[in-house]
Amino acid sequence: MTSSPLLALASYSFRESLRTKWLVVFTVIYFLVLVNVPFLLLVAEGALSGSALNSYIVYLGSVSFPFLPLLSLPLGALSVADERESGTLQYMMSTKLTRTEFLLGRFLGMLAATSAVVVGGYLLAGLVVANVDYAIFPSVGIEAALSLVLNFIMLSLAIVISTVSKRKVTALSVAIFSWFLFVLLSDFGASFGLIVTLPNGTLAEVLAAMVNPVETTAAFSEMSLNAFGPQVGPTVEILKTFFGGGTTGPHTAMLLMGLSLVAWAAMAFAVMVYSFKKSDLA
Amino acid sequence: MSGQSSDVMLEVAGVSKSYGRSKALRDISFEVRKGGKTLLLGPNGAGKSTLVKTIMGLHNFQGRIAIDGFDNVKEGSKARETTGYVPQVFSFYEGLTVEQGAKLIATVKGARPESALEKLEAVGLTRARAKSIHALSGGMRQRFGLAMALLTDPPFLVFDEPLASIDLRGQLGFLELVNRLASAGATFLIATHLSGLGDFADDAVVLHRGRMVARGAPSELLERINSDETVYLKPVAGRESEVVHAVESSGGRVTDSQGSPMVVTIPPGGKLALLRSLFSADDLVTDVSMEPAKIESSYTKLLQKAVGKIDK
Repeated sequence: MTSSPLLALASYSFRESLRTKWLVVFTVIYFLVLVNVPFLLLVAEGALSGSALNSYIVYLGSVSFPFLPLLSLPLGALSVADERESGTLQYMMSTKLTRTEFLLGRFLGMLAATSAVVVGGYLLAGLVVANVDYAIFPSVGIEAALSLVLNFIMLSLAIVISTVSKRKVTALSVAIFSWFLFVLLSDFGASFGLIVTLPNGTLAEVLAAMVNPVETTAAFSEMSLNAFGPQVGPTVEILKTFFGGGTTGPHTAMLLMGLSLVAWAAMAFAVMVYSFKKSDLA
Repeated sequence: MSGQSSDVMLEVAGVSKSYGRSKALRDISFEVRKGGKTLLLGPNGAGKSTLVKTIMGLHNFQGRIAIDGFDNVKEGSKARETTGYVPQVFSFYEGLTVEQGAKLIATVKGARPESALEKLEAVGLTRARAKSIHALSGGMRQRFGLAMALLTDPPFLVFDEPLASIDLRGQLGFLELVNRLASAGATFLIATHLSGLGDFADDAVVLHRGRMVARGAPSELLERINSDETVYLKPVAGRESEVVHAVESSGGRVTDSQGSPMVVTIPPGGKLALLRSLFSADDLVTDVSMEPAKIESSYTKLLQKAVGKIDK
């Protein structure tokens, strides 16, 4: 066992997360979804053209980004709330461990476990793809990197939910609702409302389109493959209108989206640390 | 800065804590000197556990708390390093075995993992090392908690209802251990609503509805309450009514005249008068035994006095 309290806690948190039934079930489903076996078999047998692999990469993003928060949100939401309810949190925080050390230890352990699932899933998909066309492998890497960023954001938000919720049932309910909000409701609700009420082709509209990190990640992935190609979603359409075509437009749009994701990650992490440091732990 | 040269181990100054509109602690102030053994008394809901958790840095609060001179907010880590804490119900990661849990706690507390095993042995949990924490009984959990509180041999020990879930044998073992630690110079703060710790303590703080309603040495508080003592008498056959008369004329009261022995309560000043009456001409009783008043069972009287003041 390591002698650093933070690493010892992170190591425990990692092992505990890997043993979580939800993570095991999710991993199996996630791997099956990512490795679209029938599709890849058809490509390998030449029944579909090689360019169909591009569709496969688009498919990876379209299933991974909305699906991934279902892993990190419930897992993170149960963490602090469960420990508070059982009394373990009070005990841990009565030791010399600082709140930041405890939080980082728990967070890093869960982040490592959930990231391992992401990396494992994409590695598997990447290996299958590389057998057909090695050149497409880097695209899988971009998808994996985006998934890791999204996982970081969602896990941070989940721990915020867990910290402010008095009971784990509440935390879990809010986490599931958040998934609906980010994946389904945002299209019909908040961001859609914002976008349609803002003037077309303005920066405000572009920023509003990036309010939802799940949507931003999906749009980034879409553009990394097709730039401002013919078949794009609503977010990319807004970016296309604002930045225009050409060679610099897509790059600027992707830079902005990248910054938006970094800002999301930094903000979610900062709120997580702040809320935990300020909360009543008993 | 550390006030380690000071004689004070715990300083609680003007501490208040609210849950929304409900005030759980109201302007509590007291000190525990180094080597002191302080009881935190009060009925359920008095605020004892809230105060203990606040001292341990688990609650946000108004006021100031310092442990061995370390402010428990600004220097919380150092303050808690000085303290061994046993909560009312000891909980830790349930999926771990006792040994794994003990080693993790040792790492978190900066102690050697081997010392965790030594402490487990000291509380008789060596044979339960491979057991899951989830499978421990209430008493074993508390012993586990106690072993972990003693890991770094901290000079200040805070116990929240330590005897609540321990059987009689465990309680005796616990009392023996705390007496041994007290002889070695440890400082204690023990929150309890009823226990056999009254003789052990040299100081008591009585809480009621979040307020401190009394403070002092248990003997002083007993004097202030003017607590009755219990006397057990075995009357000579046929002379029971004379015994009852002797009790009443000494200011006492017979609380059980049917059983053997007869149970009598008597105010502290009436004890000698009762003995004189019982043995004046010829012996009215064949045996006498006395049970002195105990602070843990008498503090309810302090509360009754305090309730009037609080309600006003």
